[in-house]
Amino acid sequence: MGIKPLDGVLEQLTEFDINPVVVFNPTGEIGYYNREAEILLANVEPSRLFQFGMERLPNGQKEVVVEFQPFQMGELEFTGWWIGIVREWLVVKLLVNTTPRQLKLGELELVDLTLLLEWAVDYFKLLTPTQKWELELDPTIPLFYFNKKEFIRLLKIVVVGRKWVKIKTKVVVGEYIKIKTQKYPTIEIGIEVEKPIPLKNPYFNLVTFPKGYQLRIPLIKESDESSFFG
Amino acid sequence: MEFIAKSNYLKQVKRVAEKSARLKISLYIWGEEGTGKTFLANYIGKIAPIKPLLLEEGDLKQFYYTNREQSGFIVATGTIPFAQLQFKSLFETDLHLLSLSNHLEDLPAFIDHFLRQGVQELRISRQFPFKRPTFVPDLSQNLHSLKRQVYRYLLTPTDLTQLEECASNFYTTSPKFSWQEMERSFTKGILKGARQIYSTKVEISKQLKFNRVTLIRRMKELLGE
Repeated sequence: MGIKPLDGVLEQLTEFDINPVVVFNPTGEIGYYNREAEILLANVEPSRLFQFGMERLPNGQKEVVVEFQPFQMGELEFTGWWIGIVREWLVVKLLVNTTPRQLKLGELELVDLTLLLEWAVDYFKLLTPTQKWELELDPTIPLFYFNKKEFIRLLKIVVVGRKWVKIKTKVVVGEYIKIKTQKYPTIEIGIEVEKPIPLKNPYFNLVTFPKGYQLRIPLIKESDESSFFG
Repeated sequence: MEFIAKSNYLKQVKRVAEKSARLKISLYIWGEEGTGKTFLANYIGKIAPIKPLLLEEGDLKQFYYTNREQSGFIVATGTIPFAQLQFKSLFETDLHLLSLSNHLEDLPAFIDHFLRQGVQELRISRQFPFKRPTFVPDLSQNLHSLKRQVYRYLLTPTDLTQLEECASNFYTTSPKFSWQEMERSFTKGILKGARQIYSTKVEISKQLKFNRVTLIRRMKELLGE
């Protein structure tokens, strides 16, 4: 079976990721890999990587699993993995630089994300009155524990100097983030701006896309849950 | 605690301050002297669900070295721009407060506010009409300067009865001057004022019903003209 061309969504998922991403077809052949995966594939047999992905694939097959657990593959070290089926392709992403910093309880605060983003609109419009803002917020997101300080700093880097900003939030159905033994639902924050510059952030799982940025955050509702890490 | 906000700028500042208070965002408020930084910090402190630690620029160094691990909710004020601040890691963000000359729509409301405040603070017992002062305020400085100008307006006599009362109060508190010294000072003041209002000495003499030759002599003597 030859290498099939992938559709745009899958290419975006892989090409703009700072982590190595390898996409397999159902028989274990590589369909696509991004530039970051070149070193990985020079070190590790594709069959081993395919097996690694299949072993960790959630039973439901429609879910995506993200786990933060340091491991070694070949001579390379990773901080976790993101594995899921996207349009019948198995996507294996090994996390390198996404969240190298451990979450610490002291850094997390119970935050109303909707209020925080409404604050951001007022705050950044005070700095640049002509900046256009659009919010599409998921009203079902409850208060949760979150690194507000670093999020505000990240927003400043992403937003200042832009003509327009569009922010969307949602709870990602069928995807969870596993930290040690605890599974958390995932919140996605999409920040669209013109001409985004690729960024890395030690506090968040941040991916740069051609239209902007995407953050995936664990939805930690109870403070004792967060004591599992840190 | 009344937050005066007539301009879009101050309305926006108010919205940011109120949301910052609800979210307990540690904020460094900076700007020139007399832009309302301390007022804004106290306003946030009053409406926040948890009282923030209110600090001034001078307190930051000591606070940083003793509490940086668990700094909590802080609102600080200062004149140093945020980019140049040494302890900016204590804050989630900053708020640059612009001077009144950047949002002049708020000027009448500030004058009214200082008039009301002045009547209370200066314990002015006489009936004061809450009219906007006719003077053109000097906005080259700041809100403190505007407040001083409004207070000076409140303390300036507006008719001869008040002037008499002022002279009486003055002599009660400073009985060391001679009649001649006080008369010279009073005349000098009147002539200085008249010089600002009227363009010629003939006009001054006519308005004050004062002999022109005597007027010229006294102006030369007292104002050096």
